[in-house]
Amino acid sequence: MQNLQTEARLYNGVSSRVFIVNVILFDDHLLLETDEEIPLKILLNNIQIVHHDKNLLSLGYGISPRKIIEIRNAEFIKICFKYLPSKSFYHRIVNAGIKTHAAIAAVLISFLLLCYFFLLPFVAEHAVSIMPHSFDQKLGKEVFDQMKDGKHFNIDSNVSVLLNNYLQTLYPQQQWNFEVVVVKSNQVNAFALPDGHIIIYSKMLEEIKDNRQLAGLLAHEISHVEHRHSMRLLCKNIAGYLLISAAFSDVNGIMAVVLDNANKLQQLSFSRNYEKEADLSAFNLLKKQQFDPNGLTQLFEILKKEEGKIKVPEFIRTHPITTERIKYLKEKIKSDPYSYSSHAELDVLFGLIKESLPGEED
Amino acid sequence: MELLSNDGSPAPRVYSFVHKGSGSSYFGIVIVNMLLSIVTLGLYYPWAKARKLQYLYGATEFNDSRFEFHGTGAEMFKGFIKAILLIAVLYAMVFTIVLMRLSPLLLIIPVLGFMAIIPLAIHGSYKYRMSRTSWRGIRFGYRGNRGELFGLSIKGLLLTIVTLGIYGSWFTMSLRNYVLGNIRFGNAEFKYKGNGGEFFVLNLKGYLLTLFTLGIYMFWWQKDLFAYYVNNLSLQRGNENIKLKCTATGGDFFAFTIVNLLLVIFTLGIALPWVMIRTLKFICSKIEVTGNVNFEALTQTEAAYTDATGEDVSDMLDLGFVI
Repeated sequence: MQNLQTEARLYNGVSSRVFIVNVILFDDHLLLETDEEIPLKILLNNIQIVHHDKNLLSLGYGISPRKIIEIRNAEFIKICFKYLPSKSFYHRIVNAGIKTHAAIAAVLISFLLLCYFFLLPFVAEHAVSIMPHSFDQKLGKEVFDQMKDGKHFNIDSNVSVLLNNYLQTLYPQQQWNFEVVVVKSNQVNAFALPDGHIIIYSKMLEEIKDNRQLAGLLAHEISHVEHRHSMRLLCKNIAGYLLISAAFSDVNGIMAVVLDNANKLQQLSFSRNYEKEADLSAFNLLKKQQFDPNGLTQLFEILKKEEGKIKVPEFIRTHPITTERIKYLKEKIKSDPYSYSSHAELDVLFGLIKESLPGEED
Repeated sequence: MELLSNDGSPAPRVYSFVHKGSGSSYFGIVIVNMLLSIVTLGLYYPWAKARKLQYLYGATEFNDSRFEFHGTGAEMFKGFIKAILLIAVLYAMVFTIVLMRLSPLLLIIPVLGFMAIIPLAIHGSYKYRMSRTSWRGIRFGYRGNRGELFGLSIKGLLLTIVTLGIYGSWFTMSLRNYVLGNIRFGNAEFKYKGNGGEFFVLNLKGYLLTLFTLGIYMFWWQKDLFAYYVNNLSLQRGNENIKLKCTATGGDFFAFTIVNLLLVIFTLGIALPWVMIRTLKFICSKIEVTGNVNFEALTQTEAAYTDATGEDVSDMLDLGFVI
């Protein structure tokens, strides 16, 4: 059988002159017929593939100077490539064709998605448990100090003291150093910092009509701190960014923006889960102190009224829609009833608080 | 076989410059790179880069022969380690000074370190890249001098600061002229003749018109930049030379960029390998190479240089390869 052969170009590594040669393929070597008398035999094992695509096979051989053979005969290329000592696993995969590559891409993408949505949150959450509480303290303090220096942060110290008394009476057995800070504002809102600072806006206090609602609010914020939600959210966010940048190290501008926003959306759903966790945990706390949990649902009714004023689409809210919260709380109350006792001391404290609020509406 | 003109030197002709890569082949390389990078938690990066450059260079054809990149992952990995150590040392200095509350004046040392690193990284990365690039077996080379580049950078930086940035155009051109002018292709030399004043006007005009047209002029500005980078580059060998000319229009850039944007957005990024190949084909097709250099007569003059530290420092500091 005649061996496959083709014309090819040879570069001798000394100058850029083109030499036209004849290349003949044998089982274990190539024979190069050049202008010289004796054809050159090159073992396939000593040949390096410089470039390979359908229409060009570039082979290198020899050292100092290294010579290059450029073959452009598609048929020769197809067959010769099979004879070249195989190529590492790498070469075989890279030349495996678009279907294999698409399959690999699909597997990779699914794997990344799995990691991002399941593995990552799991790992991040557990990472928090090895972090000392002093982290939370530091973080909360930094944030609070920054807020304090901010322009519209007017602390009402009198009401804050009263609220602290209230909290100590409500929840004496604390592991954290809670401190309530009342800030004058027209927003109906409250939030907790990781170090135990609980910031309540004065308008929220004005809207609260009942002792039980205040207890519910404090229970909710206490739960956020005890469950270290801020730290957990922080860890998840960082881990999310790390995974994305590790996987897409060559990201160009557009992709960076797309991925960044995708990450933000994911963050939102985490914080909604945390809100739910805080709500249910607050319920347990109230239960332990034998407080009427309906205060919590009433609190949500107040929030719902406030919300009615601004429409925020579901998927970008940080809190689950209040109707949702009312719903799952009511279900919890129904499924887990308990008896409540009266809290005379707290009633008195609550009265004091309401009285000391400046310009409140009755 | 060469036509001769009156003075005996070869007559001018147009040389082909075309990119022959395919999106699907490149996609294969990118996917496998990604797979291996994830499995090795990122350590595969230098090898991934080598594979990528090998493919892209090997698919670029000039005068009917392909380029070759023969840098290896191992070389770039070693450089990578050295680059990390270098940058870590500088950062460690910064942290020690800050955390131990030492005199902030000491920060001058790492700051100077970072400033010095940039020209050194540019030098190292050009030396590495050029010597690892060849065509028909003939290596490219970079003959620049580290000290000269450093001097040029310091002078340029100081003047730029003093003129509140205006000197920047002259600084950029002086760097470009120096670096590109020191690139050798066998026994042929590149030359770049950029002028700071022209560059300044080009960018000022581009910036103002882009603002004025709410962004639309940007594509024409881009074309002007591309043309300025291409048209001022030439290659010389004795009395033979090659000139490059940009044949793109602003409209070309507009169409080209819009299609890329749509491709990336609608495939959520999966089309990026195709976008890269498209871009290279576009660039090559818009550069016209004319001249009378006899490309059969280049000789091997450049040494092999295998230290990739500069290349890797440039990578880490995110310095683009071509300034």
